[in-house]
Amino acid sequence: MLILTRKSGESIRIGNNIIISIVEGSSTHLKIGIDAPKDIPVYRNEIYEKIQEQNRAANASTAEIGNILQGLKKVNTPALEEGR
Amino acid sequence: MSLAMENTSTEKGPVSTAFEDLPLQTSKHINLIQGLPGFENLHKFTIAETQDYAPFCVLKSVEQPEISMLTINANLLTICKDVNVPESALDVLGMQKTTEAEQYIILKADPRTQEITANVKAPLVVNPKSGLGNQVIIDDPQLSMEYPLKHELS
Repeated sequence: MLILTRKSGESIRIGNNIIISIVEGSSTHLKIGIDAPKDIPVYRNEIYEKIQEQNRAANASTAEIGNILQGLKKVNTPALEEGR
Repeated sequence: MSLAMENTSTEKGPVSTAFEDLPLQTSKHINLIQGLPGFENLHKFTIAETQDYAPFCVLKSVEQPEISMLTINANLLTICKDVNVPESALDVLGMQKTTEAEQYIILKADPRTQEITANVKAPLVVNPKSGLGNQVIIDDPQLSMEYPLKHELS
């Protein structure tokens, strides 16, 4: 990992069109500004990682969802089920 | 409830994993520009309403068919009614207004509580004309990634 030291008001350029600016800094927090093209999404990493987890869990829980839906159908349509 | 969908393909048939027994309506193709978070290498998906469990829809990977998940159109959830998709996210997909977009909410079940939750914070936003889409994070603290679906049923 590349590590650079920057002060408030200074910035870093990534490629031709991404600029990361240090807007404000303290001993515990950094406020940064990101200037990037619209087609490059910018996320807080912990939020993106949570969405990755949610999607993997959604894929892994198809069996449970299928069972729950089948259970709901049996509750909602007992006559239909009996007629089969 | 009914779900209006533009049918843009003729693909039919069962889906993988637990949904393989669910008969599906005609599916439509979507192309996720950034891939699906957690499965970033997957871009091409089909989405199809289930016949027996409408209005739920199955999202299924074309490139890796064993990857599938259940979704619901965001229009059917009251919590999503006044949500605005960020302009920058719409712009990338060739749209100007949230009303132009189709939004699908991914569902999952908690194996412990058997409760179905909806990721209303990160809908799949799709341009219905081009089929291009992305999973977009909505910057609204009211929206949860694990919103209990039962809140919409009561």
